[in-house]
Amino acid sequence: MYLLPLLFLSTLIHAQALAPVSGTLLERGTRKPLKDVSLFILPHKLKAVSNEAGEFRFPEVPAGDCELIVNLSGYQKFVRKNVCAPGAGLTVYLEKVFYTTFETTVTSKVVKRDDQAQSLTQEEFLKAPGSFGGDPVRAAQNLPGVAATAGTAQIIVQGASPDDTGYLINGHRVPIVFHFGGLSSVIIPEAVERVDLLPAGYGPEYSRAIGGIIGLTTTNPKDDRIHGMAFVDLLNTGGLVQGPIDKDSSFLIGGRYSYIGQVLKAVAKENEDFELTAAPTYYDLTGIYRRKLDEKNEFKTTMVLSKDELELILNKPANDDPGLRGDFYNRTEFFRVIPQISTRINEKTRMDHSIGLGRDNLLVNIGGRYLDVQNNVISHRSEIQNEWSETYKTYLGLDNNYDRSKVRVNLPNSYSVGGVNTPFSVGEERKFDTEGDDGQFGAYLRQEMKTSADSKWTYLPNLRVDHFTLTRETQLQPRLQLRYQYDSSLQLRGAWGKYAQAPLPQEVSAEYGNSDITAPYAWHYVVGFRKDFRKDTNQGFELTNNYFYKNLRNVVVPDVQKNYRNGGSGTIAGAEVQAKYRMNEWTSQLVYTLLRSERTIPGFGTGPSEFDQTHNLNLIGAYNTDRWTFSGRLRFVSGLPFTPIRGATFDADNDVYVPLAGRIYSQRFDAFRQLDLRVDRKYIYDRWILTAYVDILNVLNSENPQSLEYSFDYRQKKKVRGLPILPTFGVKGEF
Amino acid sequence: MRYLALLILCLACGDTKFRKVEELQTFRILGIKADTPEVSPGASVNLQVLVSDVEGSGNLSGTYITCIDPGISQGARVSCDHDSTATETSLTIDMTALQPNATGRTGLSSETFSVSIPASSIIYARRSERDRSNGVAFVAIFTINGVTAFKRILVSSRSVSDADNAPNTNPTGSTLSLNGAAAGIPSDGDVLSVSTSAAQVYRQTRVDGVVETRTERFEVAWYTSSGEFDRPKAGIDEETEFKGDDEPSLIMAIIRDERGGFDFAKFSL
Repeated sequence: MYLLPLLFLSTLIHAQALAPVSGTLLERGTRKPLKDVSLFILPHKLKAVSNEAGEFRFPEVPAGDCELIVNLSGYQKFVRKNVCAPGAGLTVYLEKVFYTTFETTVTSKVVKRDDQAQSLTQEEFLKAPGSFGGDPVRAAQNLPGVAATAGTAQIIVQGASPDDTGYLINGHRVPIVFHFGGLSSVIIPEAVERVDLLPAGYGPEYSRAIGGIIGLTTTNPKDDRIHGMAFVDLLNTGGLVQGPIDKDSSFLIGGRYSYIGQVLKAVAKENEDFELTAAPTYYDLTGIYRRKLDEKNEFKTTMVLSKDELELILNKPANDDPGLRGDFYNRTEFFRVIPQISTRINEKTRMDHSIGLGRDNLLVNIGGRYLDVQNNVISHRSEIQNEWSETYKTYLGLDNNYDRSKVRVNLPNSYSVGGVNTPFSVGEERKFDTEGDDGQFGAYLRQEMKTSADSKWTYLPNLRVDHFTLTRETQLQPRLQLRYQYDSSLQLRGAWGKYAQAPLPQEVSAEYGNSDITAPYAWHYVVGFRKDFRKDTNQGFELTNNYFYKNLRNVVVPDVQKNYRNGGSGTIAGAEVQAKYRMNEWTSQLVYTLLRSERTIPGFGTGPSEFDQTHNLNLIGAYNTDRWTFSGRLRFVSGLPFTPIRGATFDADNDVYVPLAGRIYSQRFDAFRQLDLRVDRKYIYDRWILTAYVDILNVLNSENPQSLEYSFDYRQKKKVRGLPILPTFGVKGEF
Repeated sequence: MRYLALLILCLACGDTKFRKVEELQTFRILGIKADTPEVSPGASVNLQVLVSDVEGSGNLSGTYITCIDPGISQGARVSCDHDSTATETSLTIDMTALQPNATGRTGLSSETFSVSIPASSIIYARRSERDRSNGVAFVAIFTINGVTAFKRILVSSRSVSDADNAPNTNPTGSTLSLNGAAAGIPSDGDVLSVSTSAAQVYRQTRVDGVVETRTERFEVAWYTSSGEFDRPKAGIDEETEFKGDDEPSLIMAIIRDERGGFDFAKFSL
């Protein structure tokens, strides 16, 4: 008779003791769901495995004391007690051991279409040292053959003039890639997937830049969950949010605003020579929308908006140019909307189309003299790729650009040879309003040919043709490339080709320049190799070595009679080596370029070009602990050449001295030396990560003069030092 | 962006210890005055040189040469090498006879230097109608005590009978003011200004063919034997503040229009 109550009691006890325990397993700080991870409940020896969304469930867990354990490689061991309460819903945050090292475990075997291209992925430029907190274009300045002038936004590619470098966003030309002063690129770095440098010998897909191309490719917005980021530092602040809209589409919006002007205003407050009436500011805004239309079609549109503005009053004129005084105002802004559609027709055929719509505005006003340019832009790219066979593949494309400009000018003509300029006050007045069109239409064919499927040789007889409406020319540009893939780790390559670009609008303007000039061009010759010692990891050593020669023809030079003419020529020859090493916590890179850049200008002979920097050495290193990153960059660059001034003549009408130049670029500044250090510290919280950093530029406070300042009569001169030691600090939060 | 680069350069130049542009000490040529800054072809012009040699002694000697402008504003070197007929003429400046006075060895030369403008067939050769109406430059290059300066004389088809487009004349009657009153030697913090004759109206043909009617704008350059100005270069309607612990022995303002017109006002102890 006792059996029935005992049986009932036993059933009752048994039913109350088992209950499900479920929850979600996320990565601490990033909120990333961790899938396929085993979780254990002890002492009951129960196991569950998380799903795609990080969800896990133990269906029947006895009540009472127990603990949940997760022990995953690369993460801290997780133990939580007293989880076996009925109805408990858990959120488990698993903390990584390292938040500072590179995550990609596969070598950067990005299939590169162009062997000459050098690319940095987002992870590389966000984390690599020497990138000033992750700026992609600044990071690109650490690549071989790339230099920059201090204090400006000019990028020098292999000794070429900055006017010979093209800047692209998603393949479409934009007027600038840096905010003024060269402090920051025009797109928030987290919106950039990749930055590409195309130096000598680049392929036919791009053109109109005889020096090289810097291209930014925007990212595809993340579609797994909502991500956010916000930062503030001494110079600017910004933020970004991205995530899914629905299962087929995602978005990204990001922007930055700089208050560097407020800092400058405070610094300049005591300076009686000028007043900052409106502090220099810049801001940029980036928006991206991506949608998968169907299995074969994808749509993406990118919007970029950038504005730089500065206004001041120069109470005292520049020493050597009294015309530069009074009100000064500069505004540079542009926007682009770039819709793109990609279609995978079949396994072997793909089409891509994109257009760029936008407007560029430039306004410079100096005491009533002005340059006001409003430029409406439409650009277009289309390409069809087809793999005809295992040994033959083609890329056929169009690359067009059309500008419609309204220009108002009230500036003196500017004559400059050897960097010695006719003073502003002396130049002949050029005041006019004009409207015009500039069309640059191009087509290209890339061919990849092999004699057999397993041949190590690939022959690329490529062709590019461009038509420039301003000069009424059509330029046929053969571009041959050759690749020898010895094995998966060693590639040898060569390239030869013609590269043409249209003259600058002011050079060919009927009112300001010479409408008879034609397009300058260059012949490029390149050989090199790339050896990857890392096998199938991201640890180890990579070596790249290139030799290049450029022969510049038909170069536009100033002319006393005609303003400009095609009379110049030049040569650029050099060698560059890049050695990268990554091993666990250590990352390092050595980049060295040896270069000789010469120009020949009728009447002035042959000599070094303005951008001839014989040696350019960058040594970059970083050490990562679990939460700290210590990084540094050491740079040594040969001094830039300059033209000495051997006297001056007083212009009694304009109250200014006209300098008399010596032999052009016959002297050099001292070598440039700079050491930059940076420390990052991450603080990991359950749902976000805080990074604090201190960045010190020019730790050694090297003077690094790169320009001269003269007295009003050129009898006295002084080297103008570069940036002094400049510490900045900031914080960034992200999830 | 060259102008932006120049601006950035200027922003870095606040503490430069260069000799100040307004400082009068060693020998300088401060200006060259033409009795008629704009003439017709075939005319004659007399030039005088405004010099300052505060710390010097004795008279000045040198040379001058004249020729058609080689294109200085286009970047040509300042010389008459392109003109085989140009000849150098010697000159002497008596520093005791400077105008309005020789105080501080600063003033306009009493000597005049004659310039003969070529006939139209020469001066206007291969020049556009726009250049002829705006004016073609004929230059005079002076070299005195190792200092070289040049002056343009405009040669144009403008006529005195056209009141809105008469040939340029020099501003006249320039008068200094100190703190809004009669001229005097300034002390630290005093405000100086200058007034001159009325601005002329003229027509100028732009490079795109548009004809503009303009009113002259005067620019003023200030000079002192000691101290400095907050605005050493200013517009005619702008004041400048004197800064200096020591009272200068002379101050001067040079007034220029944008077509070669010239005048000056000097005040000295």
